[in-house]
Amino acid sequence: MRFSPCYAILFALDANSGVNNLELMDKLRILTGAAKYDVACTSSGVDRKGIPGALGNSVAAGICHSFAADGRCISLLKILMSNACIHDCKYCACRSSSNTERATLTPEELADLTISFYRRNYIEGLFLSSGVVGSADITTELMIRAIARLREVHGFRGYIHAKGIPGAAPALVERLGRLVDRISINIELPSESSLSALAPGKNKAGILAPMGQIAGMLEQRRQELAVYRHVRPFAPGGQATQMIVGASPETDLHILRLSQGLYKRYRLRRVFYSAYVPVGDSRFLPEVAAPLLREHRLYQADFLLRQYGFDATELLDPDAPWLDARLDPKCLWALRNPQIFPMEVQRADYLQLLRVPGVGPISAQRIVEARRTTPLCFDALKKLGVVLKRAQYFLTCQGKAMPGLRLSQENVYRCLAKDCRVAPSVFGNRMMQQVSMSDLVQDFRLDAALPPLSLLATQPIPSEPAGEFARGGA
Amino acid sequence: MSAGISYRYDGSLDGLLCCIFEAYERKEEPLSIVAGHAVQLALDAHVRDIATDPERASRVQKGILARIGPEAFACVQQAALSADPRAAQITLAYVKLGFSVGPRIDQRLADPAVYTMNKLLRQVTWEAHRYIQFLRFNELEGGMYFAEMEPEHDVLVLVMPHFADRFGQQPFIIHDRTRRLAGVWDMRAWTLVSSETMRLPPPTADEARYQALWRMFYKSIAIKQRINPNLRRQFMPKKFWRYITEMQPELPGKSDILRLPAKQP
Repeated sequence: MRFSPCYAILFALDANSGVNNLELMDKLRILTGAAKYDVACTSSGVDRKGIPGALGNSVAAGICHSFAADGRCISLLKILMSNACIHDCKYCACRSSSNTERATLTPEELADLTISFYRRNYIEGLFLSSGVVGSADITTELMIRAIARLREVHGFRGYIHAKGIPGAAPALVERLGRLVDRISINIELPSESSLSALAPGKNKAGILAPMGQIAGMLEQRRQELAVYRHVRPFAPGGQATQMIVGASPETDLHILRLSQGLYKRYRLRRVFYSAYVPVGDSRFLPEVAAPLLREHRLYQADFLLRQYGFDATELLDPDAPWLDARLDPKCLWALRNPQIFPMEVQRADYLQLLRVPGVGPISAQRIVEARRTTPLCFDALKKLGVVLKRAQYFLTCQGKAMPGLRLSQENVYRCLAKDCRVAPSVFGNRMMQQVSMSDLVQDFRLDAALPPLSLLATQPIPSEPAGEFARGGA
Repeated sequence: MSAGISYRYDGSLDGLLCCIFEAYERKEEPLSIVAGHAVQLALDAHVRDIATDPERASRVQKGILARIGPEAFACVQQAALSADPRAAQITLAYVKLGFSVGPRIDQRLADPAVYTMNKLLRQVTWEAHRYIQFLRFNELEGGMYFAEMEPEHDVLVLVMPHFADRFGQQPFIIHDRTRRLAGVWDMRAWTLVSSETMRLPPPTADEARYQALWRMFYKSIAIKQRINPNLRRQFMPKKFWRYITEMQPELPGKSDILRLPAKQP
């Protein structure tokens, strides 16, 4: 048996602080409590049938197995491998300067917990993140051991999402990517200056390097899949990332442009936004939590980027870089572009329909299908799932507007926003008062930092057998 | 053609197909079509019992498959699982429209017959999906896993394939308490059996421990600053809480339902 540094860490932790003597129950409490601020808990994007004699399958739409007291979906066993972290990120509950209980799971404990929960239909799989124990390589190795145990010893075919640790060796990142369904590197904060102010151990290059490597490997796999029938899997659910909003002063426009860059350049599947919760070092951070509504509006705008064909600069412009608290981004956009409305339901094509507030991909598809057989009236639109409350101002049916409608821009704004109980404002007003770091904001400048995807794919991929690390002790 | 007749059938898919056969054969429009167990008729109603005849049923099935299409037949199959008292009549209207317009029925989403049918099916698939989410299995001595449900619609047959695919090496039983039916998976095929005589071994020693661990996870994962019970209830309606391991501590005065399936008549 090869003696690997990650076991050295486990022994050392055992000897020094006694953390490993903790009961599994306490470890679960500590490491889940520390993982809860990670936002993503989706199990989506991978369809994998079960096979006789093996445990687990995966459903592309994702399944929520429970909902926590805060109303968030619980789909995966969301947990840290360890919360003993060498970094001192100001916003993080596990920062090294914080006086909190520390714990580290063994790969066996984690695999056993995952399997036992999965068999009882509590979860779809595992979402494994970790504080940096010792070094990025050692931490990644620990995670690989746990996941390899699940996949190779237990034959587990359920969903696994792992966080990549910036700074880990490319061979380890590759090994991790081959084991999991989705891999994500946290971008943490929306600009490099915020990063250096709040996360002293991290920098842009360190985060973008593994993201680029993963994007390159995903692209390479895509190309291989077009040619060969059997391709070694690599994160079939793609790559994701997350960032904290509201801990630093970036505008919504800045954040959306960053996300758009990540979607276009790195072909990320999702960018997750986490409204800042004050658990960090209060000397460096706002005292109050960022409004959840801002997180919600950013997600709405994010969907417009990914599924509705919008561009970040269409939604917001440098003169008005904040989303509106009272209005969703699509309504906001529609009110700013009155020249293209009202749209005629019988004639507008699918992409045009997608731009109408109250019409989504499904209802647009249904409209296109249903209008072939019969002319549509407003009543029919309602049956097709169109939200008339919003769509009525922007559509005509056979040339006629919704009966009894008064159309002026102010009136429409008032009507659209009347159900919203928030005072009229944009997020920027409150933000800027809280934070006095407005001079910190610089553009992340993704375009300059990244080689294009086509280049990434042709770069040599580390072929060193990373599996050696994980096979050693098993 | 007699005025104001109602049909009564046995609630099965074949019975439903026979009602369709009857309506076509006699060229009549039944006032209502009731399943055998739900007999709530007007006092002066004329009721005709429709016998379930597999041969007639298969003629209707072939007709739907050939002239409307397999998707439409799948819809009829699912509609037969619905507990909605209007289910049979909605299906009849849907099939009638289908026979007149053919496979293009799936485009007529705004047509009342198609729209009500889709609404009906949504109830069934909605409930089936809730059970795929919220069913909780207990491990019993001997390696069998056991879960209980109390569905309104007959969704057991929709839920079984999902779990059979998922648990390739884990035998399980899902018990529908409403219909006293058990879906049994023996790792080769799943079957439905009556649960009247079902005898179950006690849960394993580890079961309570893993339930406690799961409850600890559930408690720890919530962000205290964002507690939102209304949002949670929207996604996870209270009627399912009875069988959800982590929700049982939150049910007032219901500690008795913590019992595991060891209880025997």
